[in-house]
Amino acid sequence: MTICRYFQQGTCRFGNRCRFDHVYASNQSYSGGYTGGGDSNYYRNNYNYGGGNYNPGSGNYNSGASTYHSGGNYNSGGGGNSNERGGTSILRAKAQTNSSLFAQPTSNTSSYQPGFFSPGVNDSKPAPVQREVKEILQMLINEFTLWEHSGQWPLSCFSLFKEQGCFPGLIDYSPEEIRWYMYQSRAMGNFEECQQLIKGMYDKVKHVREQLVTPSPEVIDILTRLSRGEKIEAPVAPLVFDKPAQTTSIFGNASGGNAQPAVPVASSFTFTLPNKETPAANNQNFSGFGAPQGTVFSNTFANPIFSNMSTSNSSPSIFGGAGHPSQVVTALDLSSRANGFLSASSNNTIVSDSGTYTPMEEMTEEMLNAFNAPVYAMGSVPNKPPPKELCGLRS
Amino acid sequence: MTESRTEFKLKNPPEDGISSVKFGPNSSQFLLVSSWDNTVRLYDVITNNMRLKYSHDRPVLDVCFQDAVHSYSGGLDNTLKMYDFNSTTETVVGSHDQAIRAVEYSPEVNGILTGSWDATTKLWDPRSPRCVGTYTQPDKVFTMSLCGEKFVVGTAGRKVYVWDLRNMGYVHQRRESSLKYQTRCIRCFPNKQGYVLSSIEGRVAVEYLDTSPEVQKKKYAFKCHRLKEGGIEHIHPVNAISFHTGYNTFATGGSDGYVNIWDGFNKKRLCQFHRYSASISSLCFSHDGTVLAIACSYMYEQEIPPENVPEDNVFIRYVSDQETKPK
Repeated sequence: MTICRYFQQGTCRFGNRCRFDHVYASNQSYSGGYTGGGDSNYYRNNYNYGGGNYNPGSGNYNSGASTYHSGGNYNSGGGGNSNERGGTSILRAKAQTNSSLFAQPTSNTSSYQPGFFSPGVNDSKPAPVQREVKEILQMLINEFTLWEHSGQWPLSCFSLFKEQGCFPGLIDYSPEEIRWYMYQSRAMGNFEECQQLIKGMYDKVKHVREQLVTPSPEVIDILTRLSRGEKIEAPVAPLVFDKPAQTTSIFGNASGGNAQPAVPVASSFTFTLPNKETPAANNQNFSGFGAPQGTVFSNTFANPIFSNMSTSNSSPSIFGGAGHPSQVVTALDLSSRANGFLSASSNNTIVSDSGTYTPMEEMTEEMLNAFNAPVYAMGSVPNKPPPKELCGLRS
Repeated sequence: MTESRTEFKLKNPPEDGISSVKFGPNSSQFLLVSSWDNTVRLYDVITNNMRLKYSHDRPVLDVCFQDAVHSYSGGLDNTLKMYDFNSTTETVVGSHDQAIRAVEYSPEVNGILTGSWDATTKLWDPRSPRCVGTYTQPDKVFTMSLCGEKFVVGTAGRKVYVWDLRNMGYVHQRRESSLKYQTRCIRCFPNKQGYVLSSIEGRVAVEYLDTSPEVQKKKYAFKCHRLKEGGIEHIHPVNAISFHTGYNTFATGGSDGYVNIWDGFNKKRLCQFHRYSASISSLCFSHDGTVLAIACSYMYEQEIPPENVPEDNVFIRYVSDQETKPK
C-alpha cells in the first residue's frame, strides 16, 4: 500500500483512520507527543484550545529503533514541546498501544514495561543510566515549568510515570482544606498569618521542585527507587489546622494529636498560644509530635536549634535538611525554622537537656533500628529525638 | 446572564460557595444543595423555589438523598446529619474524626457511605441509624463514587481503592490514579464498567474496573478545561463529573467555568456550554437525564482571591438529546 507522506512529515490529519500506511521514515523521530494524526484525535472538531498544539518531529528521539524502548514509555526529553510534556505521551501511549505510533515494528512492542530502565532493549550506548536520568530530569523540568506557569493548583502530589509512586516532598492538600484554613483564620482574625503560611507552603513546594530537577545523588536515588516500583511513602499529611494526624503510625505515639481536645480547632494554629513561643507553637501544632514533646521542645528549643537551622537549610538535601520526605509532608512546617528543628533533632545536635530525649519506652522498632544503624536511610529518618541511652559515641 | 426556558438560576441561592448539588433518585424536581454557608437547602426546580433549609455548625461539603424524604449531609463539623423532609427534623447520626468530604447512599445495601479527611470511610445504617463499619483508606478521602455493589474511593497521594460492599473485609482493588496529579473527582459509569477520574491538572482519565489486560488496554486519558490565554496555557482543575444515566455520557465542570459533555466510549466531546461566571464546583444530572444542575462558585484555587468574588449560583439547565446523546 501507499505510504502516507503526511504521517512521515508528522502532519497526518486522519490518524489511525487514514487509508494509507503509517510507516516511519528512516530518519523520523518518535515525538511521542500528540501527533496530530497519531492517535484517535477525537477532539479535533471542537477543540477547546485550538488545533495548533502539535509540534511535529520535535521529539529528537535518538536515532530510531535501537533505542526505542518498548511501549514508548517516555519522551526523550522535552525538545521544545512546551505543551506536550513527556507525560502526555505516557498517557496516550499506554492507552493506545495499537495506534499508529507503534505501527513500526521495533524491538519490543509487546508489553508496556513500567519504569524507564526497561530491560531487553539493545542499547549499546555507554552509561545508559546517566543518559536516562538526564532525560527524566528534562521531563521533570518541562513538567514543573508548565505547572508553575499555568496557574495549576500547587499543593498537589506528583508522579512522573503513572505506574510509579509519588515523588516525596510534595504536599498534597485539596483546595477545600486550604479554603477551610482561610475561613478559620479569618474568623480568628489572623488572616495575614494564614496567607503567609500558605505562601510558605507554595514556596516550599517550589523549593522541592527545584531540588528535584537538580541531578544530585539523592534525586537520582529517588528516581531509581521509583522506577523500580518502590513507593516512597510519605505518611498522611495532617490537616493543616486541625489536630496533627493521630492516624499515622510513624509517630509511634498513641497519644497522637495535641492535648487540646477541648480547645476549638481554630486555636491550634493561631500561633498565639499562651506560654509558647511562636516558632515552637508552630512545631507543636504541625509537627505531629505528641503534646508532651511539643511542650518540652518549646521550652528548650528557643534559639540554639534555630541558629542551627540556618546552616542546615543550606544543605543540598531536598527535604530541607531533614532528609526525610515525611518531615516535609507531615510537619506542614512552612517556616524554615521548623525544618531546621527537625533536622537538628534527627542529627543529634540537640542541646543536652533531659527533657529533649524521647523516653526509651516510646521508641518503635523502626525508630530503634534507624537510630542503631550507622547511617540514616532515606525514608526512615526518625522524627523524634533519640533516647538518651542511644546517644553518645559509638565504639 | 440571559435566562431562557432551557436554563435559569435558582432563586435564593446559598450565600457562600456551593460544595455539592444532588438530584433525588427518582425525580428531577427536587435538588439538594450543600454550601460553605453552613446550610443545606432543598429546592423545587420546577417552581424554582427553596422548600427547606437546615444548618450545620460549619460548612457542609456533601449531601445526598436517601429517598424522597430523607437527606444525609456532612461537612467540616465532622458530623453526619440526617434530615427528614416530612417532619422537618434533623438527627445527628454520627461523626468522623475529621471533616466528612463525601456522602453517598447505596441502595444495594441500604446504607450511607461517608468518606472523610481522617482517611476512613464509614458505613451507616439508616434504620437505626448508626455506624456499622469503619474502613481505613490509605490517605485523606477526597472523593467517592458508588458503582453498583462496588464503591471507588479516591484519596490524597493519587491512590484509588475499590471496595466491594458485599464484603468489606478487604480492599477489592488497590490502584494508583493514572493521572500524575492530585485526584479531584471520581464518578462511576452507570453501566458499572469503570469510572472516570479527574485531576487538578485539567485532565480526565477513563478507567475500567475489570483488571484483565484486554480491558485495561482500553483505558485512556485526555486533557480538558485548559485555556490558552495570551500564549500561556492555563490549567484548571476538573472539579465535577456527572453521568447521564441513560447514555453513559458524562459532563465535566472545571475551574475555567466551562461544562463539557463527553462520550467516553467513542472518545468525543459532544457539547460545550457557554462559559459561566465562576468555577464549576459541582454537577448533577437528574435521574432521567433531562436536567443538569450546575453549581458555580469561586473555589479559592487562586493564590490571591480575585477582587470581585463572583456570586454563587446554581443553574438549572434542561439538556437535550443533541447535547447528551452519543452520535
